[in-house]
Amino acid sequence: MTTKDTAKDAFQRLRTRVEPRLANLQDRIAPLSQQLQQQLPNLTRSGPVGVQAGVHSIPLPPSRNSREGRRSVEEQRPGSAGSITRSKEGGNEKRVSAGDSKSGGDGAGDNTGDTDGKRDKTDRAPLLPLRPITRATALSWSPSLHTLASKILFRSGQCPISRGPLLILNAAAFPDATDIDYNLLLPYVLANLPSDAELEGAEGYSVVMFAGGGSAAVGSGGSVAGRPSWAWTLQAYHLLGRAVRKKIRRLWVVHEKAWVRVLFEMMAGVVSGKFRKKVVHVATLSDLAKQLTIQHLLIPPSAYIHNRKLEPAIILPTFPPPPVFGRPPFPTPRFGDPHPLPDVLTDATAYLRTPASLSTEGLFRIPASQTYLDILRDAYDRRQAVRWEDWGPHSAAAVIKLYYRLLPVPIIPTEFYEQLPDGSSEEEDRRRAWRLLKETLPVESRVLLLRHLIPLLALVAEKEEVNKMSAGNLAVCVAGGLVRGEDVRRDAEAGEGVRRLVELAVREVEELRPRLPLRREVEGGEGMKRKPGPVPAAASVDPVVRVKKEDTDPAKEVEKAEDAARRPSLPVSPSPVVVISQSQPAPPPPPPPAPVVVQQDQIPPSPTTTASVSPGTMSRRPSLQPPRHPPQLKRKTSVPALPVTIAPDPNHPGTFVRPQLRRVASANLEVKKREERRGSFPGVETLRPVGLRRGSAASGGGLGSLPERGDGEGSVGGGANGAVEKGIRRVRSAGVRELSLLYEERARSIKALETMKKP
Amino acid sequence: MPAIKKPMLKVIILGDSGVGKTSLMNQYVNKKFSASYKATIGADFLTKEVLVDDRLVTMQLWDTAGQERFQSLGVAFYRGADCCVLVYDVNNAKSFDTLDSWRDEFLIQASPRDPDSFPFVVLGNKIDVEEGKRQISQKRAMTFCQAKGGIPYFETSAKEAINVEQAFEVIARNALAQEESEEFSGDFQDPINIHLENESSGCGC
Repeated sequence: MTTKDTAKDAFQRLRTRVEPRLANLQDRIAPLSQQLQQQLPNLTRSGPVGVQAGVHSIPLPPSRNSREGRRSVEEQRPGSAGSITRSKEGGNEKRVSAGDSKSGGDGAGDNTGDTDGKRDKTDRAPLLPLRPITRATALSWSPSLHTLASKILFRSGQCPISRGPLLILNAAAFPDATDIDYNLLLPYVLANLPSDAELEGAEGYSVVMFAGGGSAAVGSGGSVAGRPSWAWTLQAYHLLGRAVRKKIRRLWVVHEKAWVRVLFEMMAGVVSGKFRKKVVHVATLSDLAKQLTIQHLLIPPSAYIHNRKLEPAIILPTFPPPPVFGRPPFPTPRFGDPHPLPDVLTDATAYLRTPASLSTEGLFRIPASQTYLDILRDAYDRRQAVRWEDWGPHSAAAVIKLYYRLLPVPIIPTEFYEQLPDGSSEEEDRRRAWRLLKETLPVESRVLLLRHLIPLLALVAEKEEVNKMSAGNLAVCVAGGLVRGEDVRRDAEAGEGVRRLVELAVREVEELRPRLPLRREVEGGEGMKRKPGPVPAAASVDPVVRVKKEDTDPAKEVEKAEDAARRPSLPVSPSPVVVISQSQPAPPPPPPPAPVVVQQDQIPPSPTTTASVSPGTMSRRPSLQPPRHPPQLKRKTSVPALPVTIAPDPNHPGTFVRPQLRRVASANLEVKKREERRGSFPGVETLRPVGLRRGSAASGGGLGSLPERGDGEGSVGGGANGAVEKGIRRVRSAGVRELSLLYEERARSIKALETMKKP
Repeated sequence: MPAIKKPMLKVIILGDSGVGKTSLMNQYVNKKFSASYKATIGADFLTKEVLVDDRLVTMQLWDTAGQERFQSLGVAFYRGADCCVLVYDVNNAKSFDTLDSWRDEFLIQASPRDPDSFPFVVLGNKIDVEEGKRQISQKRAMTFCQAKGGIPYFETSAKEAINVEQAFEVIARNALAQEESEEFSGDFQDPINIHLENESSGCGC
């Protein structure tokens, strides 16, 4: 049966089933046929059949061949790290070298010529000439469409039934049909589906569809008019691979709306009666929680907001975990790290550290939406995975502020008000501040301040020209949340001292670094990630903290580290805090590694600069800011990487120097200072070496590690794991660009075929 | 005619952080706009003498910090206010959405005698920013103000000094009217009863 017959059949069956609604449907279907009519002349006009430079030819019939074609794309992936394979339908294949595609903009035009040169002559399928791929069309890969599509359909861990991928389809993210050409959007959305190849091994996959929300979304949500046309839906279905069609195990539809019901009636008509059985309609998120572990789902904001209208709170079928907010920060000391930063802090911070977030004007000053804040608080109290890109940097900052404000013991307890810097003189202020931060404050406060808040604020303050948040500004915005005594008035007075304390600490964060109470010199995850060569087994495998007890003063330490950094032969972290020195007994054993992540923007604009970009860095790129295509290639090749190895620290036998990239050229002090400060930031993925390692594997192996994304663990955690996910998604997007062109062409060819068959 | 004591009008400026409360006040009082982006600490006030219908009044403008944490300090600051200015940023939808909660917060904390007639003024600030970035239309803001009992609405720019003078003139006038109505009703307040006679028995001498 041809696709046309299927479609026709579908309409027939639909007619009998949803007769009452059909009248209104008809005018939606009409545009499809109209569109086809219009395209027919174009297609026949578009030149002679055959291959010629610049003409994209697509073999027909598409159904079988294209599936194979697509599979071959997938199969190519593992071996094609750093290069993108474009597979022509019917077996034509070509490779785009990394260099070509990396050049982004202008590279695409050349690719077409390339294609023809390497064309496989064994192609016997009939060719249908389609519109020539001009520079403009080839370049039409649109980051904004990609972003849009990744909000409509995205992965969220593992299907509880089949162990295959679990996808989320967010109906509220469908843009207004008047704003966006749905036909252009389609390939981007489809590209987020699992490939046939991936599904071949798997038992199947499932989809959770959030049908509600939309207009109610705060900020940039969907719109009332936002919904796909019927023609589009049908077309989308026809473009699905066989495995994608057949292997769906369950489709949960949450917050159903009338139009969704109609859509499913229609789909059931097109697909089969079996499909209908796979669809489960669920009224609320609490109901959904009875069917699968919703804590692993990256539920979009619109769905939460819609859900709040339906039920006051999300109730889990299992006994709820103790809340995160308003609880002691370090309730259960774990092996290896007595003070793991709470997930809410690491997640939000990981997102805030992306360059796009850091350049948000008024970060930590502009308040977040209270609704978002409530939802996020509930979410973390529930241990819910959160995709921070959906919520925005202001929400992340607000969640961090809220967390600090709600701590059962405030960061600066009342009894320390007297010891706060009083502004009498600068030296006195500094002395008081340092004493508090290094000695007197409760250990929880010091850990949180020194390992999280201060370095994070320092990172924000560094971008002051862009985000306008100076150390002083940040201190004003944050200080209020660090005191919470009985007497509001006293708190307000103390607030001034806290403000001075925070401002000073943020400003002179470097001075605090040698004494950061908790540090670890070797990081399994980060070290692995960075290093292309072999690693000393101890460094990579053993995550156990190595403490070096010694009585040195911080200045000496700095000296040592700087000394080490100066050694040209040894790539060494410029950070002086390579080795932990625990000269004082108060702070408990050292913390997890403080990962040094080299941000792209941190590399000074010197032409001689050399830096390798760690995959972790890439994965932390903001996904709201659409990646330049293809993202990772560009970075990798733009600056040659120095080989980095983990080397034993010459100064401290038995310990290892954290590998970090050294710039070859002049290390002027200013730059170094900056790097140190960044390097010192210990916020985030410290606790997730596994995730980091995965990230490195994924990015290092290029497209090869894609199937791993189905793995539930990777997507659950948010934070580092989320970042890894993102990274992979981004790597994928490079391939997607190629793929989407194919999809687009294919859609046209199908249409053309149908139209030609009509008369 | 006896000289009436120069009235002191207390005006509170509220709104989310970063909408331009301090800048508006500075523009009005000092005729200056500073491009520096500084978060306000706690609360601060400036005074300005103005002529309202030939009467000289002193306006005490209270600039508050938009930070969440400082909101609980409201009671002390809000008491005795004669007018409340709600500021939002026309390019920031969220700051408009929170106007309502700022208004409620004020009414709860300041607990004016007659909440329904208490004068509010809404200012949509930062209209100098290019049109494309604007998120709240004039119409939408007007509708909101109408729904809240006809609150006067101005679109201002502290940077370009657009409409600032006009807005504060209305603020001053409304505040004065409020002050006078308060004074008038104040006469009927219960006098404090000291109970001197009853307590005299406690003294043995």
